[in-house]
Formats: sequence, C-alpha cells, structure tokens
Amino acid sequence: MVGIGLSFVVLYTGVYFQTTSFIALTLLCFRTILNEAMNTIIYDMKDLEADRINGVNTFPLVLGIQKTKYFLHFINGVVAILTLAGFFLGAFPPSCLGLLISLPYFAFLIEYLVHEPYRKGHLLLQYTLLDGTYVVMVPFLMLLAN
Amino acid sequence: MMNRFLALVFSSGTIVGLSMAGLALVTNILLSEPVSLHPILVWFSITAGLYTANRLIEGDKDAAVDNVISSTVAACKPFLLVFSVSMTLLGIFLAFYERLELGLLIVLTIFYFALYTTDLKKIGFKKGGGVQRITSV
Repeated sequence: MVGIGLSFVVLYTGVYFQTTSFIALTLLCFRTILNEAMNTIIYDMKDLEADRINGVNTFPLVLGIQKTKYFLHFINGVVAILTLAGFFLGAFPPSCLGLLISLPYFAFLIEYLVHEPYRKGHLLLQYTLLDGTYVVMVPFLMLLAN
Repeated sequence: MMNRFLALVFSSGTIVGLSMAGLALVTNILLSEPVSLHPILVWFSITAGLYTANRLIEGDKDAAVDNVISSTVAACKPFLLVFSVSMTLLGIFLAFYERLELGLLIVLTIFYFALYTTDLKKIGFKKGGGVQRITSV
C-alpha cells in the first residue's frame, strides 16, 4: 500500500516531463512499489514487539521471521530483474545499472538489520538505512550517469 | 544532546523526504531528461510533511515499545505539527504553481495516504455498531 502511494513520485516526474516512454515509467512504478513494500516489511520485522502488542497482523507475525526473509529475498531479486529488464529493453539508460546496488543493500538489511544487537543498539542507523534508501542509491546512479 | 537533535530530524520525516527527492531524481535521470529541481523540491516537501503527520498519528502506537524516536515525537508535537503542515502546503503550492494537473496529482497522493492511514475497518465497524443499536431500540 505504501509502495503504491510512493510510486506517485515516479508518475509525477513522468507527467512533469511529459514523457512518452511508458515502458520505462511502468517498470519504474513496479520497481518502486516492490522496493517500498520490501522496506515496509523490514520495518515490520524490526517493530515485531510493537505490532504484537497492538495486534497488527504484519507479514513477520503471520509468516514468521524466516519465511518473511525468504519472501523478501525473492522480492529483492524481482526488483533487480525489473532494473535489468529496463536496461535490456532499452527503456533505461546504462546508468540504471547503478540501481543494482539495491541487491546487496537490501540483502544486508534483510539478513542483519533485524538481528538482536542491531535492533537494540543501532536505532538511528536502522532509520537512516530504511528511510534513506534512495539517498544511498542516487550517488551510484549519478556516478554511472556521468 | 546530539542524539536528541538527530532523533528530531528522524522523527520529522526529513530523511524520508530526502529519499523521495532521490527517487524523483532517479526517475528524472532514467527518463533521460535534463535534471530539474522542481520534482525534487515538491517530493521532498510533500513526503517530509506527510511522514511527519504519519509519525504524529502513529506516535501513541509506537510508544508501546520505548524508543528515542517515539519519545521525541511525543515531546516535540507542536513543532512537528507546524513543520508537517507547512511542508505539505509548500509542496501543494509548488505543484499547483507549475501546472494544474501536477497539483491535482499531489492532492490525489495526499488523499490516498489519508485513506491508508485512517483505519477504514475501524470506522466501518463503528458505523455498523451504530446501526445495530438503532435497530435494537
């Protein structure tokens, strides 16, 4: 749901530039939806206790941590495939390969960020990495764009 | 002190705002257009404003588990409220100023997030309960 909301960023930018590249726009929208869904589920893994207390049925509470992790790795793979599809279809410029940094980035978040020592002691690091996903990705993209 | 300041930055949704400004920039570059500041500014203001509102609304729920962000939200409510409203209005103004359809898209986004944040099921059940009481009388 959050992902759909944030995919408006892509739509807005497309409308702003009055783009005719609908394949690029569609791929980017799907990519954003999945990326933000992943982000939200990782948040849910982190906030397990709060959701349990409030009775919110999140993925990690329903599926369990391990199955949720497998699910997230699957989505992470799909996000990378969408990026590559855009590149091979010629919808994205070569600089899009910088977005593939999301593959190791989210793998790290999925595997290590929800571990007990991180959950207890690195709150601001968690928020930086989860809230600021694109702050990390933009430099890689810009590096390849130039 | 530094932690308190950082907690305020994080609880204000500024980082999410920067991230979404980054997404606008990514979209801009991938559509192979010249980089424009407009979508970057609009999405920074809108997402920072909306996420601050979200943190204010969800603050009580998050406070169930003690953490520095939720306690900062509780302590700085008036400041965060002003920040949220002014950033959202700035985003709306910038979008409408550029073009009508862009402004409407932003209003649609805000409407979507408002629906998402509001617990529709709860409202539905409340209404259902009311109807039941009336019929039983």
